[in-house]
Amino acid sequence: MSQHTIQLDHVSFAYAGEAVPSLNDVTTAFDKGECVCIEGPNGCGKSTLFRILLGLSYPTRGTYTLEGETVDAKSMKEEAFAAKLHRKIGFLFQNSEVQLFTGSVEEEIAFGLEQLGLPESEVDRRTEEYLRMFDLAAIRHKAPFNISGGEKKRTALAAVFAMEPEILVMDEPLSGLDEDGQAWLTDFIKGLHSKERLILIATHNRELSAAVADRVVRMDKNHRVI
Amino acid sequence: MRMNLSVMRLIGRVIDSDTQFHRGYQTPRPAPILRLAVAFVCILLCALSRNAWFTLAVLSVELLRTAMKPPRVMAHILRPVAVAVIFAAAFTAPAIFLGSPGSFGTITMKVCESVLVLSLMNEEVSWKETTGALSSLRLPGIVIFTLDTTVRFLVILGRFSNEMVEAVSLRGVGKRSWRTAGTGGILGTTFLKSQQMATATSEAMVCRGFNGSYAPGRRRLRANSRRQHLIDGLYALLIPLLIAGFIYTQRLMTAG
Repeated sequence: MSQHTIQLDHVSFAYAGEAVPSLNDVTTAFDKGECVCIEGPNGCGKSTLFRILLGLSYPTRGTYTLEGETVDAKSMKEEAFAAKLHRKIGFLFQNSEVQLFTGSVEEEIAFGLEQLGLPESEVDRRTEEYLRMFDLAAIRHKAPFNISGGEKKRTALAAVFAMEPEILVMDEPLSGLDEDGQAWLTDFIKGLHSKERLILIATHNRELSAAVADRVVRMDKNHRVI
Repeated sequence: MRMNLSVMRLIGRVIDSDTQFHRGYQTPRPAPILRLAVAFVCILLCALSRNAWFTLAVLSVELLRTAMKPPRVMAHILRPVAVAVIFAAAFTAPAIFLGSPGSFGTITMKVCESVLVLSLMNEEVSWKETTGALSSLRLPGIVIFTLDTTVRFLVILGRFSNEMVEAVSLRGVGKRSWRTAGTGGILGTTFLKSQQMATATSEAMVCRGFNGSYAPGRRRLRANSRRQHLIDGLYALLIPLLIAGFIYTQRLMTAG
């Protein structure tokens, strides 16, 4: 049996004190080279699924494996394993505001690179490259909470991309963007397709799915993958 | 006449450089760490000073610097100073009637000088630069992060609660009880929102590989050009000059 990049086997998850699980017996797999859109109504468990993929929550039942290695509370306690997982998976939050926490756009991009332990010259090189790529050079010294919604989204994207993750997870990437911003981001995601990269997108936007997805996974109100 | 022209030219250049600074140009300015150090020394020496000469001298220079700013900036700088001076004067006014009018003058002047130094620094050095300067003093990263994040949260939560106030006032037209209930709701919701945001931010940091180190200083405090080093060097000279001035004015009192 070939090994999937991400494999979920009968994964269920319930938040503490809640009787109804937020994820109910989900079995699915994702592989590098594909762009998968996850669609479903509000509260169906898309965000919970992403939290599990990112190692922020752990399945209460079932197993989650990333490139053959089980991701659970025990493995995430190992610093090296957690660092490896977060280096592999980049996450774009639905609300960019909470994702930006440093004093300037430039520092935001450099933050993840510094955490990766890259040499100073490499941090500088990549910071400059991604500032240019995302057209952020003019606002590099501005505080991220004082820039527009589109700029926030681009800053968050640049910060994630600068870390060059193999798996990119995006939660409602088009939310809060105007038409031009949405068109730009849709084109950008299209351009990300690569054999070496897996892209997972949670969205309500059917147009986005039609434009970028190789495959669409649907979730229902019962928190299951259809 | 020639001297007057030179003075005018000098003032013109200072105003020009200030205007450029406020328009966001990247003109070399003294390093924030030096500004912090000079401000600290000014406030410390004024507090230690046992006569008014030193405080008066520093206050004069600071007021001169303030006077060279554009009117809008000047008002921004002087507003907190005025409030502090009024409070200090009100609290020390009884000293006049208790036979110690000198204390009234000295304390009010010291308060004025200290707040003016801080207000000027606040205008000229951004919060980001200040925390960057603190990080270069080997303060733990977590302290710097807390300072940075506090400002960010204050701004974001301020905006959030402002939007809620608008929403409540739109719904509560003419009904005072609605507004009272709304205020409690706003405070509670803002508190809950702050908790959610803190959790989300910590998760975002974890997702970006946060390993406990936060060191923004290097990026904020770059000073590579020779001109920048020269400006820093000249500005650093202010510290021994201030100390010398302090010793001189204290001796004046002893001699008197």
